[in-house]
Amino acid sequence: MIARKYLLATVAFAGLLISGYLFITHVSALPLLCGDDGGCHIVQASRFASHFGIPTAAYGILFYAALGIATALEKKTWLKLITASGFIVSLYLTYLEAFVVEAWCQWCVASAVLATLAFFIVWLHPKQHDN
Amino acid sequence: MTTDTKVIIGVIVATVGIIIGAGLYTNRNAAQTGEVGPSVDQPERLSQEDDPVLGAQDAKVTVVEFGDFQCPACGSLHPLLKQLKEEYADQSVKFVFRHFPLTQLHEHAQLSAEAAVEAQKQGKFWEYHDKMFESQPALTRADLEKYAQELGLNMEAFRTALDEHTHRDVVAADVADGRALGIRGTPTLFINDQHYTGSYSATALKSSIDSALQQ
Repeated sequence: MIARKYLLATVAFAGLLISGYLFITHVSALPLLCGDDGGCHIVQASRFASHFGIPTAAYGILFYAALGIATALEKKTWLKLITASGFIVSLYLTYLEAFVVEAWCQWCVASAVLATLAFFIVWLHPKQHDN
Repeated sequence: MTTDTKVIIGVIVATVGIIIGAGLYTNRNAAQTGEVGPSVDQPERLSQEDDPVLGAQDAKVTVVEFGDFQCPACGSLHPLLKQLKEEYADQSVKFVFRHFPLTQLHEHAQLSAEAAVEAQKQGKFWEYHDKMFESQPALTRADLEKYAQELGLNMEAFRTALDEHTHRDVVAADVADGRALGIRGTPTLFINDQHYTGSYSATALKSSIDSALQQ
């Protein structure tokens, strides 16, 4: 399934760009581009912008890098574990935005969509063989 | 390893490398500028005579917060600012609050701001401000009246002010200043005429206030 491999690699790359951007704006004084409602500033100023002292975006970078490498190596079990954890974490973060912080960060939502996409790409192909 | 495997791994590793490099580089630049952005273009819009102020009028350092009483991030920042207000009470630092209700996101933000202006008129702004942040997200009309009652405000005047939106213009003037200063969200802090861009931690904020005190 060559097409699936490239699709996942593209998702991983796009995710890296988004979480990389959020990471850089988190650790530096560079401005974070944001919609008119200022939602991403609210989210990035909230206590959930870091978990255990590490910027949430750094976990995103780790996740997308692992996704990209597992995709390149076609490691099916890794892919299942990585995308499942990414999906669960995205659900949790989206829940925080909706019900706790009560503000939407468009970049974070985009990342959650990508993680969800990766999860379905990997899990909805039951007859794939491991290389 | 096939070629595409190598290409994908190469791209991923290079991207992560660039992100980490850019993060380290821009972070060092942020540290050098003392966690504050450049001076604002229109410093006269940072505070007005009718703003609630805590501290001496002629203080050397002014910390201005543009805030929204229903904004959870403002609520999270509140305990830290309260601590700083106490710690700097005997130094040349004053704290100013400006209203910046994000009315599209927060249904009670506007009325809460108007209620705070009425509390200010009755001499109890900071008490009312603390009560609202500490009671988030309970900010309905009934809640606002309950807090006013608890602080012993003149309830008749308070209700009238809320019913007739007496202080709508005061809040709108703050919002207009905020927009002119380029504010997109809350909380936004200014230390003297510089936009504070550091993290909301006691260490980071104190180091910026201290360096402004020494200038």
